[in-house]
Amino acid sequence: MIYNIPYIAVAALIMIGLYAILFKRNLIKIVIGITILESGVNLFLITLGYRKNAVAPIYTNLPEGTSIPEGMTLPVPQALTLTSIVIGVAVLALMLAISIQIYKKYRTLDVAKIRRLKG
Amino acid sequence: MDFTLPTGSGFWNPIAWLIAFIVSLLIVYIIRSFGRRDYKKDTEQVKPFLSGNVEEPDKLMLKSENLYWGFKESMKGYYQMMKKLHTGDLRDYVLWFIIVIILLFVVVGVI
Amino acid sequence: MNIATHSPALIIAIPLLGAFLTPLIGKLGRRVRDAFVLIILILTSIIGIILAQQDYSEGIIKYTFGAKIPSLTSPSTISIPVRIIFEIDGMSIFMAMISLLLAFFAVLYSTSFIKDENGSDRYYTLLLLLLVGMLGMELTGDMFNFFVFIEIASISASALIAFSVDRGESLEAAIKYLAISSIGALFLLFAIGLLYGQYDALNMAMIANSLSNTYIDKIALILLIGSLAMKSGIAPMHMWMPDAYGEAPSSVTFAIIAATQASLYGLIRVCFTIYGKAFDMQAIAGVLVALAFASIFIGATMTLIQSSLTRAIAYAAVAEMGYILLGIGTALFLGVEGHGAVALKGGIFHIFNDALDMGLLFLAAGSIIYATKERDMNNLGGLARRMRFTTIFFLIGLLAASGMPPMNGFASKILIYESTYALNPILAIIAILSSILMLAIFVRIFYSVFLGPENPNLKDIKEVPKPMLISMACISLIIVLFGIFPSLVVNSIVNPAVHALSNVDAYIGSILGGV
Repeated sequence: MIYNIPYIAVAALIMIGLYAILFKRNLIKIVIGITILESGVNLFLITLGYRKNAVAPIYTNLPEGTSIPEGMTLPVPQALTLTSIVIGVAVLALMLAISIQIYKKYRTLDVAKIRRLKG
Repeated sequence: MDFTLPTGSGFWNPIAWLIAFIVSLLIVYIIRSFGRRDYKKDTEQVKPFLSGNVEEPDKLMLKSENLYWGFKESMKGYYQMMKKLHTGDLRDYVLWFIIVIILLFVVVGVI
Repeated sequence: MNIATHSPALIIAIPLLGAFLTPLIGKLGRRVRDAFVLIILILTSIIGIILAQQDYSEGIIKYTFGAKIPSLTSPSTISIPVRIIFEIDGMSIFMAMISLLLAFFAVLYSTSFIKDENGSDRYYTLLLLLLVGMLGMELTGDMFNFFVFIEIASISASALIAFSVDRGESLEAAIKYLAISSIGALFLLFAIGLLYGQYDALNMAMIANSLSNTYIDKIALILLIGSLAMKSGIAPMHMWMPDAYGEAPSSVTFAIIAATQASLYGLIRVCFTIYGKAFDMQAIAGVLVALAFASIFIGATMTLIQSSLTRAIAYAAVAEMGYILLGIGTALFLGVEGHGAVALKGGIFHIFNDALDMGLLFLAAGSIIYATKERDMNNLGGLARRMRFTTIFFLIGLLAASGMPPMNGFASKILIYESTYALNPILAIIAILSSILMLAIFVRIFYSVFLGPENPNLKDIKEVPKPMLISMACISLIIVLFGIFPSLVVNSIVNPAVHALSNVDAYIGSILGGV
């Protein structure tokens, strides 16, 4: 049961992220919601690679008695998560830059009022 | 070289269509040449007929909102509903995505 | 280094290098930079032609990044493919041809469209990065690589939509596009994680081979279809499309059409190749056909109440994406023989035709906006006297988009009508009536912009400069040629794509070596 806690955390983070995107009116809060959603998905990717009682997949200075490679966690999800974190940083930077320009033009950050393109 | 495109239960040959089109254009030209040639150019005889009224040039322009007025008027209920649905609000766009995912869950899980 | 062997890597590397060199070369002057970008695109197109020739003569090309020999998919000590592998079959080459063609004409059009704006160095960088993203999406055989390239394409596209920063509407459209793309891509990543956790594989061929019908696979399929359909603008998730297409500069819209269709290519790849063997896709095909009809109807009717020119054409683009999805949904429903193969041919051919037709309409609308500085249709009128060539090109695009013979739109639409009739006659009748409705829509736009008496405010506008006219002329020439010789196009380009999609075993066998 204790090994399922990260998956419950993933579900909780995704729900909190979706709540922030769907029910908050401030544009910055929606951007933060997207970031929380991305953290949840990254946590999911990392948790997939865990093996019970395993060590980090590095070959130098291994502790005694670890079998290679069954005693190591999977290294591929770690690479996927790093890539995803970098992509998330780029998207966050671009979203905040566009939000600053929107504030200069619309004088408000309320999503219900930034609605000139409707219909 | 075969120019026909076989569709499921028939075929479509654009070269045959073009030949038919050119033949019909020729027929139109022959019919037009039966007309009278003794009309005076650039006078009242070639202007379009607007029910006898004389319209000023700046009143002849039709805005694009007024075109297809009858169609839009007859479907007014549908358009009111669609305008209300297309709010332009970012949160509604994500809400439609979640609704389609739930619909797909129901379809794939139940059926 | 043999160019033919390494062409899948070069086709990504050359535009990527060119994208980051463009601001440096831009210091030398405007003409040098324009010539440099055009040379990069011509080089990429030449490599694309080499790839296409190799693919049509030898079969599926595979390229492993980081191996001793590029066609060695598994390393010598392990028996499963572990590296990033590009797998190029007939469908990938078809989509790559569309992307290259559209990017080339977008750049040619932009050389005079954004001549007077500042920041044009970064515009060309972003346009080349968008091309890299699209080509990577279409050529890859690895699911996580697909996610990375779809994010590259969406980030570049949303920065390009916000190009004219002085208008608030462009920024609003850009943030909506970026938020929607990013949420869709995160759900896509969640589904890729689910598939990786089940099968310990990221390669598409390996997942297709080891797929079994468990409950988690169904959840992954739903998330994949949902997020890829949202990125392709299928109703009711289409609402970002009129905003993004209507507010971007027109050459950018031309390139984003290809990016949207690359997402639809992702949907086709998921439904046919990865899940094609192990799943019974009838229920999903029914939902896709229903969503396609919703797109066609909503797109065709909402155009009539718009007053902005590009926004009206964008709703028509939503309807055209509905037609493509109708062809694909019918092919999923009926299987890939008989009428299903005709439906798949129609849908895939319509991808190319829709890109060309809608692209031509957006380019013509861009010329009007460039010449008159006016985006609202209520203030335009009687432009056919001054801008003769733009009128003719808009007319050709209009006839092609609504499916009039002898243009290419009719050739693909008749394939879709006939196969939908085999599914259910009522659906074919609704599709044909919606096509007539689309003709009515475009006639309204054409009349209110071009015909009618002359507007006194627009007395002294001139025809647009030559590069814009040349790109519009080339696209309309391709449209007319595709319309007069559709059987040539279908036999040489579309049939290999349909074969590649229906032959899943060849796709799997070429990576796993006959397992």
